[in-house]
Amino acid sequence: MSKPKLAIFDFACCEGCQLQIVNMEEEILNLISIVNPVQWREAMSEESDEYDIVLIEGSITRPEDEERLRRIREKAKVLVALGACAAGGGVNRLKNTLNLQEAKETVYGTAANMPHLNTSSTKAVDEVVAVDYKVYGCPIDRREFAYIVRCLALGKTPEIPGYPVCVECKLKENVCRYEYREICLGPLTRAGCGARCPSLNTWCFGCRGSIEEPNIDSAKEVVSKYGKTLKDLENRIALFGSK
Amino acid sequence: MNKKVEVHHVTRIEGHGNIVVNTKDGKIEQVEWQVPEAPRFFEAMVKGRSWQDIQSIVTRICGICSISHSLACIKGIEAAMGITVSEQTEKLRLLAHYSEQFQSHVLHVGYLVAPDLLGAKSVVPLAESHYDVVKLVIKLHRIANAWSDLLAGRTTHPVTFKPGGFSRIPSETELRELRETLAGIVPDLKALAGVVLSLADKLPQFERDTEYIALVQPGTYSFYQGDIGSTDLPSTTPVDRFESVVNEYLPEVSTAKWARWHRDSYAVGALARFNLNSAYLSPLAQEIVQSFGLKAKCTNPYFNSIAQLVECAQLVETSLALLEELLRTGLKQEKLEARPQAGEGVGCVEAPRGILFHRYAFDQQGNCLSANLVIPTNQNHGNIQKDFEALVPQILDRSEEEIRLLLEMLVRAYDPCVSCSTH
Amino acid sequence: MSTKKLNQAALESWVTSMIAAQRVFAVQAKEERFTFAPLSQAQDLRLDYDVTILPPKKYFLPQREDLMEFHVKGEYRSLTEKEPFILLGVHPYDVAAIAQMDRIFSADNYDVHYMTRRRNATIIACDVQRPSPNVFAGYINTATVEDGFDVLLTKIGDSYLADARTPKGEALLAQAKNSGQPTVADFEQREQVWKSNKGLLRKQKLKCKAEELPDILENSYYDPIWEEKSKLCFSCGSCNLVCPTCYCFDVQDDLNWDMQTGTRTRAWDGCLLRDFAAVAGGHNFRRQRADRYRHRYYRKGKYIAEKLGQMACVGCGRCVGACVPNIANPVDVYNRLFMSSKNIYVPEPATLLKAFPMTDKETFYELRLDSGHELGHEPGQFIEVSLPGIGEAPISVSSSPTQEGVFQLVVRRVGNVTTALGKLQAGDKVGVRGPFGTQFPVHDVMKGKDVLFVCGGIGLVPVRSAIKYIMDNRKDYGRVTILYGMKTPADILFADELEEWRHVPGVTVLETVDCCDDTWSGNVGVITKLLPMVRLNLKNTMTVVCGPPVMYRFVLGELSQMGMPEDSIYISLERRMKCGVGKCGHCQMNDVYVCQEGPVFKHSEIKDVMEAI
Ligand SMILES: Cc1cc2nc3c(=O)[nH]c(=O)nc-3n(C[C@H](O)[C@H](O)[C@H](O)COP(=O)(O)OP(=O)(O)OC[C@H]3O[C@@H](n4cnc5c(N)ncnc54)[C@H](O)[C@@H]3O)c2cc1C
Ligand code: SF4
Ligand code: SF4
Ligand code: SF4
Ligand code: SF4
Ligand code: SF4
Ligand code: FES
Ligand SMILES: [Fe+2]
Ligand code: NI
Repeated sequence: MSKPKLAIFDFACCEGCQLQIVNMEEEILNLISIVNPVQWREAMSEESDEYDIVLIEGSITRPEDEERLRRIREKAKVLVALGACAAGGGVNRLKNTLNLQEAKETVYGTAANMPHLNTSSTKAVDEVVAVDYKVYGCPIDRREFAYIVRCLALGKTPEIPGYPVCVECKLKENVCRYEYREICLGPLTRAGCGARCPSLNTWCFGCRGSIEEPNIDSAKEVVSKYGKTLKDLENRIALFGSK
Repeated sequence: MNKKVEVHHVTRIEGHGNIVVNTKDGKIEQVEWQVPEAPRFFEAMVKGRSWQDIQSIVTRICGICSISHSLACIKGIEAAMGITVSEQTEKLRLLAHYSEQFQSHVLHVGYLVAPDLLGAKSVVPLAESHYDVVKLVIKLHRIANAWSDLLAGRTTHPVTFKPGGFSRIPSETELRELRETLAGIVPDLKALAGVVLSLADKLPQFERDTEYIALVQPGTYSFYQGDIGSTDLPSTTPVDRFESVVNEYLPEVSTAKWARWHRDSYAVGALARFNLNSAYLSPLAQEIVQSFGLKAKCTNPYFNSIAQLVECAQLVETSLALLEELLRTGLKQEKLEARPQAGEGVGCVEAPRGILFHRYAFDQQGNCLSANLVIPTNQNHGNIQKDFEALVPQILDRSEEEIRLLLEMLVRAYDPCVSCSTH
Repeated sequence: MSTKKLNQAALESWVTSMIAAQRVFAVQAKEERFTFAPLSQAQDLRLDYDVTILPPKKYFLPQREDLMEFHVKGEYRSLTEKEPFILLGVHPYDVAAIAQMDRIFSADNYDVHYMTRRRNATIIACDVQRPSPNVFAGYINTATVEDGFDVLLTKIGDSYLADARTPKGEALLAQAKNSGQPTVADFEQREQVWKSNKGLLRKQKLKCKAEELPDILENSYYDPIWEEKSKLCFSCGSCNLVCPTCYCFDVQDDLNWDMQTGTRTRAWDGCLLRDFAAVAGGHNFRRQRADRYRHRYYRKGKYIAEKLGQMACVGCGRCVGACVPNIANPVDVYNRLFMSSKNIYVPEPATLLKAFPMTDKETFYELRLDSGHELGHEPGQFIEVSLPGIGEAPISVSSSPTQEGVFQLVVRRVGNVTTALGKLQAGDKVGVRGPFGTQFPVHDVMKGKDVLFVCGGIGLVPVRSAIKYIMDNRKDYGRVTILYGMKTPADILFADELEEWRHVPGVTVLETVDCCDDTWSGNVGVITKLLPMVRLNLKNTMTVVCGPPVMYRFVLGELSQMGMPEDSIYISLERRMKCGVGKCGHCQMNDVYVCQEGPVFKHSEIKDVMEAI
């Protein structure tokens, strides 16, 4: 059996998720032993239009990018949204809370009306094309990524946590951030990062995106009990556009 | 004869940039460095956000220099709110900062530039043809990342940096281990420098004098503190007047802003730092400088990669000294006590690719009123264009293939962070 | 088997010798909390802990463990951890939980992973020195233990009694140098510790008996409490994960890069998690939050209880603290079910233990429920006191829930019930319904804050329950300021306690009277006069106001002038009440039922209720 061909494409994002693939360090040699990278602009000059697995990094913010993405989807057998930007819109989703014209003026001042600055709202990849798998996190977790690639090579659906960060946080035996009166989004956020932020003595701000059926009503009750306002909660939730 | 070079999305750089060259009958019609990156509007996105959340947002401007962005941000918030931090915090931040510079330089020299020097299209074939070199690069890169992880809590997009200090600091044992590791890679650094030296003749000979700008602080090879220095100016400018230096403007070919000061363009980055601060290099760094016969002011942009290599040695040696100091005084657990306050302030650091500015204003509750962020690559775009304009006439006789490669290599030499510049 | 007496130094050198010989996992501080962790030096041991974040089950059933390595061809190699270790400082309730897990993992299908670790462990138990505020082991018979450990440590004065109960324990104890022989008095003192711990480990008041639970649950499957409480459930599983008797796990495979070999791993799971009972095709057997929420209580109080003859809850209270929305307290739930298994209108008999006059109008009472159950109230709640033939009256509980076994009331004679009450003496019986109503937020928003109490006259009576609670948990709160106004010096209530509080560090007590005589040398004038006399950190202060109706308008006005935010002020309101359970309608202010949504209200919540103030 020949190795599946892998291509990586990036859209509006910080390219930090691709960097995590480089950050696999020695294991990148293992990675290329089971998949064959044929196109990866950030790291390679080789190019190819033939690929089996496509990783899409970044969120989609312009009509021309939607076009490009559709062309990629047509050729891809398996399409994976890589990282928060691709999987849910990521931090770029904050833009959707803004008035676009004002945002342009804020950033570009008098140049704001130049046509090449036009963008639409931020979309996750699955708002444009069908997505087969999602790798969560901002950035992605390289161990989880490695696991997912192995699953894909094996033809198995990866088992990604659907439960909230609190689970991993408890397993790590952290002192809960609510005891410090911080707004932690752990109860609303998909686990898989090993409760990284609470383990580093700070709140989770939701970079792995929302779990299914997050209990926002409860979060509202909780923050008011800890002397915080609804706005504090909403502001934190807005960072990664969780539900 | 007509020549046409069109590179749509230069490879092996961060972000999307195009090269367009058109000549007709030996005459140049078009030479362009284009930046078609999708703008993300970070300066608008942070407006109204809480001072406690700003770092989590702006670090995501760039996956490669996220520690630099985070530090510039935190310093900006602290300047705006009059928050002071302990000496220990400053040292640990500096140590974190060095880890990223080192990681980024190894990545650039080892993964992105080396294939050009070794005649390959990427590091993938090198894994077979030059296994030892690849292993060496991976090792240094892994160590750099573990070093960032230790201090920032995550290699990319730091977690532990907070206005006023750290949410978590490493243990002394961990710092001691880091010291051992760093001391242990000095021979690897020499080996890497040796490999690059043996390929130095592959670096194109091209000189163009320009203005170089970097942080300067007397007595140090500064990455973190000081004023804005320029090779065109004997005096320095305080960082909170950075707008008068960058003079940003938006050309039609770019979604990222460009910058200029005393000339049509200026350059920032490792070569600029070297040109302004070479007097303060550490011993091993100086050794490498000498082995390449490098002298300030060096005006060959391709030598930016060599300056990065020099800085790798500088970073490791300075970090060893810093670790020594930290371990001598011992670590204290400090409480985070910063409170929000209205005000405006600037945070400035040298990112791997050059000087980086963040300005913020906040209201009483710590909600952000405005932000202005100027990224190193914003300041290099114009200089890349000017280099193109100077270089293309010199190489018109070469094949399209060669012209393309030389221009790509030139872009790569700047190690541009394009999506970062289109924040 | 022998018992030795070890002073601090002897204990430390014994522990040091253990560390040298094998792996020791012991209780240590983590920030303000405690965990079991590898012990590297004896000084780090903290036997004075209240409770650890995770129970010691993690050493027998690790959070994540490799069960086996495999080859895709179908070869398996099982992995079991065989290295011996010492678990040091296990509280009795956790010993009981381990014993229960042992039964589950050894019976029927023997779990070699768990049991190998279990057999390689030496357990040094330790009697509780400082009960956690959430513990209720005293009700479950797990406050002390007879077996299930190798050595038991009990703190007696400055020393420990170390009691070896197994050959393994005996051998380990033989290593302890410089030990003394315990005297008869020492053993007696240990009996005392055990006896008092059975009472002290009752911080959460369970009203029913543990044995009654399976029957109560039998009829509670459709009780509205599941829906109501689970509305706030995050499905975060914390209540499962921290529980010493929860043991569900998930199993997953991962291949190595060679795509040939790999490991099968198990990791903790929890029945509260959304996908726990999901099956292929998108069906979920416990789809609703309420289904999952209910399941835990049934498992603890009924399913396992019936199977093993003992509850799957040892009363450690970890779930109480681990649940961010604070809905996982088994005591709350079981109490509610217990209450609704009874007729809400029928009072429970109680006996007056003490009754004596405080002033010419007010009488003090101490009572105990005849059932032996705890009243189970929170500061600020009230009960209906019933005298058959005369009627009922709502009366605030004046004692703190920290007081065990009994509760206290102060009643002013104004009419039928209160006058009849005034004639009763110690030994007489009354009926009691409740507790009812809302509470002062001592468990959440007040924690870590300064607290200001402003009381007028008999308003001190309900507030005293909160003051006493705070005094008993002093370190959890900042500065405490008590302002107390009365008509005349003769009206003063709890003069001795006021005097006592005045001398507690960080506490200020100021009194004033409306009109004075020559016995009074203190402040004269209305209570608002006292406010400017105290220094308050407005941002960090929670305020409680309680007194006669006229007082509210003035005090609240003054506080708002000072810049006190409305959502940091709590007031307790009094209304005409009959049923106390939100049915009869007497207590309504506009659409608010004071007996249910009050009597304690956040000021910001009722400032727009016209009939409130
Ligand atoms: C939540 C709550 C907590 C209370 N806590 C205490 C307490 O700790 N100690 C204490 O002494 N009293 C307390 N009271 C007041 C007490 O309930 C009344 O004084 C009592 O109900 C009067 O009953 P009675 O049968 O003695 O008088 P009745 O013979 O029923 O009435 C005598 C007079 O008292 C008035 N009255 C009846 N009920 C009330 C009432 N709820 N409030 C004010 N006046 C009333 C009647 O209108 C009548 O004028 C509390 C009231 C409430 C609502
Ligand atoms: S998900 Fe985060 S790390 Fe990944 S590309 Fe987007 S912003 Fe960068
Ligand atoms: S710190 Fe956050 S993630 Fe951890 S338990 Fe608390 S709420 Fe959950
Ligand atoms: S704890 Fe939350 S914010 Fe931190 S890495 Fe995990 S999901 Fe992201
Ligand atoms: S249910 Fe709660 S109190 Fe009971 S044993 Fe489990 S964690 Fe402890
Ligand atoms: S800890 Fe509380 S919120 Fe979390 S699952 Fe249990 S009951 Fe629900
Ligand atoms: S007292 Fe009956 S409804 Fe409140
Ligand atoms: Fe900018
Ligand atoms: Ni960058």
